[in-house]
Amino acid sequence: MSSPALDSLLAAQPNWIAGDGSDLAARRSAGLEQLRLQGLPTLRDEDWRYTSLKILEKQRLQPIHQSDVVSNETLESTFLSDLSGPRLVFVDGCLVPELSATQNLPDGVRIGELTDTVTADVSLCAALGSCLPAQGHGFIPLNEAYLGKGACIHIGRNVHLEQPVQLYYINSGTVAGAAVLPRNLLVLEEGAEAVVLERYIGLGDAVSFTDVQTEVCLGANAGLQHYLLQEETQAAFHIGGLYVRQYQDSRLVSHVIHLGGRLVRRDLDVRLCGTGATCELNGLYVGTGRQHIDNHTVVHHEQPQGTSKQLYKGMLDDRSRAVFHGRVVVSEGASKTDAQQNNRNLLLSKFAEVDSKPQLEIYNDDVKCSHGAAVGQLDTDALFYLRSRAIDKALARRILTVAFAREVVEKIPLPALRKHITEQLESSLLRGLH
Amino acid sequence: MLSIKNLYANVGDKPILKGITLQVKAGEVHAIMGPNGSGKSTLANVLAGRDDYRVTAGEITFNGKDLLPLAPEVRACEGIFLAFQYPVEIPGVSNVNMLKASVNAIRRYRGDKELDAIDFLALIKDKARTVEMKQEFLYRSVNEGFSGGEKKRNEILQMAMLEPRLGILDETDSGLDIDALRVVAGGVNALRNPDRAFVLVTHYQRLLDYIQPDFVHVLADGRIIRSGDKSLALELEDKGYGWIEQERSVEARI
Repeated sequence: MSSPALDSLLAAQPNWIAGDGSDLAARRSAGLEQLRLQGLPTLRDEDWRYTSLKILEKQRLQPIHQSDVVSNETLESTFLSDLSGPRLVFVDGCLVPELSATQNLPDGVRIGELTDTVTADVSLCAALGSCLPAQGHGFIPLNEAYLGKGACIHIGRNVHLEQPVQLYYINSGTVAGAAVLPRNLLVLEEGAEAVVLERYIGLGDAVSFTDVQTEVCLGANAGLQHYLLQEETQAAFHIGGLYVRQYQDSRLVSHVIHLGGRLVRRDLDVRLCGTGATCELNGLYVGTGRQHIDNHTVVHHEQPQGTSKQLYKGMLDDRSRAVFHGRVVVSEGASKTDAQQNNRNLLLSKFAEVDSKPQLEIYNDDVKCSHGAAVGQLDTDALFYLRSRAIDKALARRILTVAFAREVVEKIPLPALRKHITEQLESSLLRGLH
Repeated sequence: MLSIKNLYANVGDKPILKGITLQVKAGEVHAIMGPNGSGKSTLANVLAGRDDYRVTAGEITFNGKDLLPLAPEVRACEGIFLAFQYPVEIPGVSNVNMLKASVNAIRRYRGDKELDAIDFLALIKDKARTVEMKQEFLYRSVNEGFSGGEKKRNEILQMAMLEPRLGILDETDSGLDIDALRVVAGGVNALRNPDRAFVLVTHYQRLLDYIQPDFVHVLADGRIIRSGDKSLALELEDKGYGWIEQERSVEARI
């Protein structure tokens, strides 16, 4: 099958300039080679059988890094008010220093552009790439082929960074087929704690493509609260991954919120490679129009006493489609593992569709594992109850839909974020009213 | 106020109401009694506009308006309130939020200004006291985890907030202990006035010790087979529903 998207990305790579670190250049070449061999995933790949890339493959893509097309005022208007703290803002793949804030960081905290930060530190350079799977799908070598842009956050031993670090990736939507391929590296040393928000926003109507891969390394007893807020336009292709390695007693709480995007695929891959590591993965996705949102989670329980708890909820209207594929792998040595997974979906239109696929692979008898998947419609009794209280049908549907999402939204400890998500949910569901 | 003429209705394909005629004037309280399966709850739900109940013949007018084509929410705005036999639990929607949407929908419909948060809260706290409901219940999800009595009190609270012209209580007394019944009845009595009417659907005469009806109707097999004043309820209490049904079959044979 011909793929203008892949062809254009392969062709543009030799002209890509992104930092001079020779080590990075070598990785880029290796990534390109791997991508040539492997290509992009197809429906024949088990992990991609519900997500067709046909509409993406047809696009002619153009990797860019430019930042001067949108006024700072417009950019600032997208920021979450009530949320202060360190911030890096990338527009069309390029850092905008005037809008970024990395001053006055506590001792032991480094936040900066990827290339600068890793070339200055041998151990960070060694960490880069170490969390990615050896044999990932084609978007990982693609990201590697363009390695150099993105953010690096390093939190030193026992340092607690209380303010959330915000990473903004804004697609201006002014260049048709604009492609950005950032890599983020988050390293929390032993006992460190941080809150990190990755937010992806689209502004204009042009087709955009994002392939972002984030690597997280959590040292012993470290704690990370991670948010992914995907608010791209309905002309955006967003492929992204969060690959986490957790050492002994470390804690991850992840919140994945999808409010936008035309075709979205997120991989969340957590490796509990130390004893007693815990992770909680929460997800919420709202589909309207013809959106396709694919969430793929994998939790590898490799050591004893690990816990994982997943709750993903989706609301699909119009002709939107969602995929939830949740894999839990419990290794032979991972006794006393406690793994829970729950995926619940609400179909708001008879044309909307969900594929929910739990997959448990357990190689140890001394474990507690549970999973549940549900797809349903709005409760007609509740709908009638609200209508009998003078609330019109459209509003009653919206109230019940937002209520369905609330379980996930309420798990978010940051009030500014909770408020923003609730507002966005309400306005996106307003559109889809019948 | 409410005029039901020769009403027939099905639940699914099954005929339940088979020719009901009933007139309710402002200020009146009508009790509708009858054995299980006689169609009492169907009548209540048909009045409120539930989808799965289909009217096959007859008419209902409410304050001169044809009620049948109106959506449930429009009926509520027109002043009809149904207290549910089984109030629905709605996780994630708080009592206050639901009621604020309700009250303001009705105010908009009537051309009144919407209440702001402060006025609304003052009003709901005041009404909550009249049904002896603790404030924390206002902020909890609608009926979620409420006991039977709490659910029914919540229905009366909602009725007090929405100030309907016609309150229909669908077996609100069933399953209540005497204290809860007293609170529920007190809430209804406080709302009685010359402009407002009530239809009490009940299985038990006990409710009528607390809310004195002007008229009592006995429903059996989808028809009103006897109407009278409150003494009819006492007679029923003495002799049971079988008495009236037997009497009817005797009449039919003659």
